[in-house]
This record gives sequence, structure tokens and C-alpha cells, in this order.
Amino acid sequence: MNANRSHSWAEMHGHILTGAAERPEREARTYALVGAPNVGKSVVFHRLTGTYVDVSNYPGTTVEVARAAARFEAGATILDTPGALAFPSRSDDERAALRALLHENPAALGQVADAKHLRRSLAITLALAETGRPMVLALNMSDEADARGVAIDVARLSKALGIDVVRTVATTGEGVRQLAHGLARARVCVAQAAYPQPLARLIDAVTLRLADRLARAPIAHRGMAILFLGRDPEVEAWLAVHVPDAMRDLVLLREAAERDGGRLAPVIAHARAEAAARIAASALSATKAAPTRSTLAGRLVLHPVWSLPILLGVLSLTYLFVGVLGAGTLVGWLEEGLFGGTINPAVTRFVEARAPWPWLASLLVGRYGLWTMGMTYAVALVLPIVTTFFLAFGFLEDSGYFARLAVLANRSFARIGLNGRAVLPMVLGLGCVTMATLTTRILATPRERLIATFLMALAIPCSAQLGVVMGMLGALGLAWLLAWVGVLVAVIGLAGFLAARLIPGKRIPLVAELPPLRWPVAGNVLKKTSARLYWYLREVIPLFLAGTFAMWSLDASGALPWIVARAEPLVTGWLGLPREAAAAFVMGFLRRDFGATGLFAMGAALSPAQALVGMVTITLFVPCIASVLMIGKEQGAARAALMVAMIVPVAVLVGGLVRLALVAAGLA
Amino acid sequence: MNTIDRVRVGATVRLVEPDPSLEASLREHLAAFGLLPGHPVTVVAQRPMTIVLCDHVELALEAAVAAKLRVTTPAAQSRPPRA
Repeated sequence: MNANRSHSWAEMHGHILTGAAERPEREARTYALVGAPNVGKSVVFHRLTGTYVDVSNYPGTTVEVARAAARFEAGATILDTPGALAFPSRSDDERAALRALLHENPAALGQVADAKHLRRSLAITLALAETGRPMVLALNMSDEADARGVAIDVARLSKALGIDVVRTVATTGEGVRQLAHGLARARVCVAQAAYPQPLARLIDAVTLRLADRLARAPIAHRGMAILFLGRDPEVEAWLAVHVPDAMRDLVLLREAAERDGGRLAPVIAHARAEAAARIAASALSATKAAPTRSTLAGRLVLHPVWSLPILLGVLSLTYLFVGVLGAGTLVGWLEEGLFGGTINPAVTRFVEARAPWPWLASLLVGRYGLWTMGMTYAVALVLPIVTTFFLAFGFLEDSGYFARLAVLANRSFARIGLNGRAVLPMVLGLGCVTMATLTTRILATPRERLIATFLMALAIPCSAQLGVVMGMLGALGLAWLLAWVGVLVAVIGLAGFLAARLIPGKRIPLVAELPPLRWPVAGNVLKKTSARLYWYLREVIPLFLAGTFAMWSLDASGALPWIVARAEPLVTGWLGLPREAAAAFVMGFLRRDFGATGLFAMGAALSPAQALVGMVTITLFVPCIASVLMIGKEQGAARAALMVAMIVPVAVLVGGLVRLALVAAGLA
Repeated sequence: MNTIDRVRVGATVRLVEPDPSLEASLREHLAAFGLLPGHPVTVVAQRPMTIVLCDHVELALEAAVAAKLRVTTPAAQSRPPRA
């Protein structure tokens, strides 16, 4: 920087308001939706684009930036950024949101805010104002604010901020058209936090240095300076690339200030909070309102006495819906009735009459046929189970129950080095471990993510497998099903206990927002379920067909009998299962549910004890290929390989120990 | 000074600076949720963990955090420490 050059406040402000933040041309504009977690950004995104992203009533649903074409402006793109409670960014979600601001060059920001918590929302508004981007504020969930007696003078707030402020209820679409209109004519927010001395002088100094070196920046120089001083990792990385020669000087300035007064981020947050509180007070009038039914229901769910019966009720209803209706009635109807009685005999007759070579008929409709095994497993067995599971799961997550489950589960999760927030990926893992592995990003630290990922890979069965287990062990009696659950809980407890002590790092205590308990909108649950089913089947059908082809190849080449013979001592000896069960474990290497389905198909060939041992072993067996790939993506290839190498022996060991326990109890 | 985990359910109290032993990252997290010195909150539950109402939003606080969140409250609104 030229030390002799002086800049007035007006000049610096001018940079922010007019020039420093890059403005894209009118064509092909991008708008970014930004805001705290669980304020409805993804629902707003859906309303503005018609594109569905996974939307749920718990924080952290959006783990990556989603993008889609805007409905209201030809050629425009809308970005849905992950929830950000504050800037400078601290969590992965906040970093992803800030990356979008740095690299996507949005023409305007749409801040989606919780109308019930105006003070907190405005602290984010003030942080976004410092980016120098035009913006519009959507006060979402206005209906819930009304129900709680929160009245906001929108016109006064708009005047104080200098931007459009819109009341929205994204779930019903109210106010979304005005928000779209506001985005297209967004203005820069004029409200600013007043920082105390000496921080204000330091901000000016860094701003001037940046203004000297950067003609154009994605965030206004002053905003960039504040984020840098607050140690935002994304801004720091961006500056290291774009003004490498200035970094040493900037870091020295910051360190000198921190030596005198400690970290600057809390000072920044405090100044914004004070300014936000003042603006909120001028626009807000709250009247005492009686607790809403939603509030009372939410408290009942966490009641010291009633929480447990409610949890048991939820689990029982889920079991009836997924285990009895999905895995029992619908699977029976599809597998035995439609496929076993009608479609498969017809397809088999058709293929056998026309296939020019016997091997082709075998490949298509034989014991390991692409149709008779691959498609039948995928459609007749898996589809009804995952459909009912995703419906039940979607209902529960939209209701806000899972956030409360995190509170209920927190104490148990503390014993395995996690906090209750980990219940969300764990429960989602009951739907699909691959999807859930991605969702571990909502956890605060890499250590928590590693522990949760490992436990899911080891012992959380996906919905297809869960349904098969429910169908098989449930038919033998509730005691066998509970025994299976008990073994898995014990394995998770022991493995988590050890992991928490062996993996270095500290556990983060739970501090969580509890979203209102709501009756889910049926259309949203159906949309969510269909999107998940599409995702799941797109993954499952090719894998089931590839798995079936691999099994057919192993069988046709004589390798399968060889593998079965080699595995026999382990399968028939240690695990006490029929030798044919070895083929199911080979299938389990491709997908655990594929293997479990193989055991399920053995039906009466297994005694109840063998069914329990088989299901425990296959549940703990290697996660499916897609999950391993996802673990590799999230945790690195070495950790993924290490997990698989640990999980297989543990599965066989535990399966054998269960058999020994059953023998000792006289049940096997 | 009283801490929020020892406040009776239903009482409205005012937050003060958290205990200095509370980690800086957690303090920043609480501030981002709006739990700032001088702000009033109402305690709505103490089990299974402390739940407070802050500007019409319920926040759950694990015992380790609640025990370091200091508040000013009349003596009548506090409860005896957990056994």
C-alpha cells in the first residue's frame, strides 16, 4: 500500500456501494439464497425454481450448494447455499455459503430469515450488507411469527435497511412472487454495524490496503477486511491467492490486534448483534401470546415422562408401516404374487423358448438371472420396503421430531464421543447409508464425522436391509427381532466407546435449535419420497444387475462353488449356517441388502437361530459399494479401505459369538 | 452467580457474560444463536437438557454448556443444584 495516500470514509464507502464488489451484467444473472439453518431456504429455492432439493425440518439439510434455473427471469440461476448462522464462517456449511459468495459472483442475495427471531436474522443481514452485494430480506415463517404474537413493521424495517423486505410463508408460497420481484431489483443494504475502537481503525487500515491492491473483488473491500480480521478461512484462502504479497503485512496487523484484545470475531459478532437488536427493536412489537399447539406438542415430545412412550409409539408405528405393510404385505403381494406367480414364469417361458444359447437363458432367467434375481430383488423386494421407509422418514423429518430426538439421544451419544446431532445421519442411515454418509457433514468436527461414518458403515442397516430383516426375523417372533436390535446396539456402543477413546480430539457439546413441531405437508413428503426413490433406484438397479451378473459369472465359471467350499469352515463351522449361505455373503460384498435378501430367499432352510446369526453377520458386513465410494470421497481412500478391512472380521467374529451365546442358552 | 441450568422452569432471566472457561468457539456459537449478554431468555425445560426460549425460538443446551451460561436472576427463581 502507498502509505502516503489517504482515503476518506466516503471514498471507502464508495468502494463498497458502487465499485468494489463485482457486478455481473444483466444477462445470465445468479441470485444466491443465504440464511441461517432451518429457515426454509430450500423450500424458497423450490418455489423460485421448481427444482426439488432435499428439504427437511431440521438444521443442516443443505450440505452443498444447489443451483437451478429461476422461474421468474429467463437465463437467471438461483443458488441454494447451506445454512450459515454467522460470518466469519466457522462450520463447513458456513464455509460453503461464503465460497458461493466469493466464487459465484451473485448479482443479488436473497436472505431467507426466520421472522420469529428477527434480532438474530438481522445480525446476518448486517454481515451480508458488508459484502456490498444488493440484497432482499425474506421474513419467512411469518405465519409462525404471527401465531406467537410477533408483529414486524415491514415498511419501517425496509426503510431502516434500505432494501426490500418481504413477508413469506414458503411452505404455502405466500410472498414468494414478491421475493422474486425484489431479487430482480435488489439494492445494497445501507444499515451497518458500528465497530468499537480500535477495531474500527483496524478495519479501515485493512480496507485501504485491500483497495490499493484489488481493483475488483467478489466481496466489498471493507467486508473482506472484516472477514479477514475475524479469521474467516475462505477469505484468508482467497486473499492468499489474489494478494499474496500483502498477506504478511495483513497478518501482522491482525496478530498485533489479537495480542492486545484477543480474538476479533466475538467483537465483530457483538457489534453486529447490538446494531441488529436496535434495528429489530424499532420494527418489532411483540404481544404476549398463549403457547401454540405446536409449542405444547414440541414440549410434550421432550417431557421427562411422556417422551419415552411417544418414542416407543413412533417406533411401533414405523415398524407397522415399514416392517408389516412394506416388508410383509407389499413384498408378499409383489414377490410371491405378481413376480413369483405371474411375471417371472411368463418371462422364463418366453426367454427359454427364444434364447439361442442355454447360457443366455441362464443369464437372464436362471438361478442368478438378471431378471429372476436382479430385477426381482430390486423391484419386488426392495422397492416396497424403501418406499414405505422413505415415506415414514419424510413424515418424521418434516414434523421436526428428529431435532427433538437429537436432544433425547444426546446422553447416549455422549458415551460414544458424539452429540445428539449425530442421530440425524444415523437415522437417515436407516434409509440409505450412502446418503447418510454425505449428511455427516452436519457434524461439527472431522472427529465426529469419522466416528459417525465408521459406526454407520459397521452397524447401521439401510432401509432395504432393515425391511428384509424385519420381514425375516419379525416372522419368527418379536424376541428374535429384538435380539438382533440388541446385538447391533451393543456393537455400536462398544465400537463407539472404543472409537471415542482411540480417535484424538474433543467431543463438542450439543447446542441446537428446536424447530417448531409441525404437521407435515403431504405434497412435500411425497415430493421428497419420490426424489429419494429416484436417487435410490438409479443406484440400486444397476448395482443389483451388476451383482447378479458377477454371481452368475462366478457360478458359471465354477468359482462360486470353489469360494463356497473355501468359506465353508467359517460359514458352517464358526457361524453354524448351511453352506449355501456362503453365496449370500459373497453377494453381501456387493450390497449388504443384496446379501440379506439372499438369506431371506433361503427362508425355511434356516432355523430361527441361524436366521439371527446370518442377519447379524450380514448387517455388520461390508457396506455397499456406493457407501464405500462415498466414504472414500468424504474421508479419503485410505480410511475407507481401513474401515472395510476392520469391518469384515468384526462381522464374522460377532456372528460367531452370537451363535455361541445361542448354543449356551440352548436355542441353537 | 447463578447459571442457567439452575434456573426454575418458567422463569425469565437475563444473560450475562458466560463463564470464561467456556471455549471461545462455543461462546461464538451461542452468540450466533442470539444468546448474548443482556438478553432475556425463558427457561422452558431442564430435562432431558436445558431448553430456553430466546426470541420465540427454542434452543437446547447440553448440561456442560448450560452450567457455564451465567444469568442474573432473583433468588426465588433459582432451584437447588442437582443431586
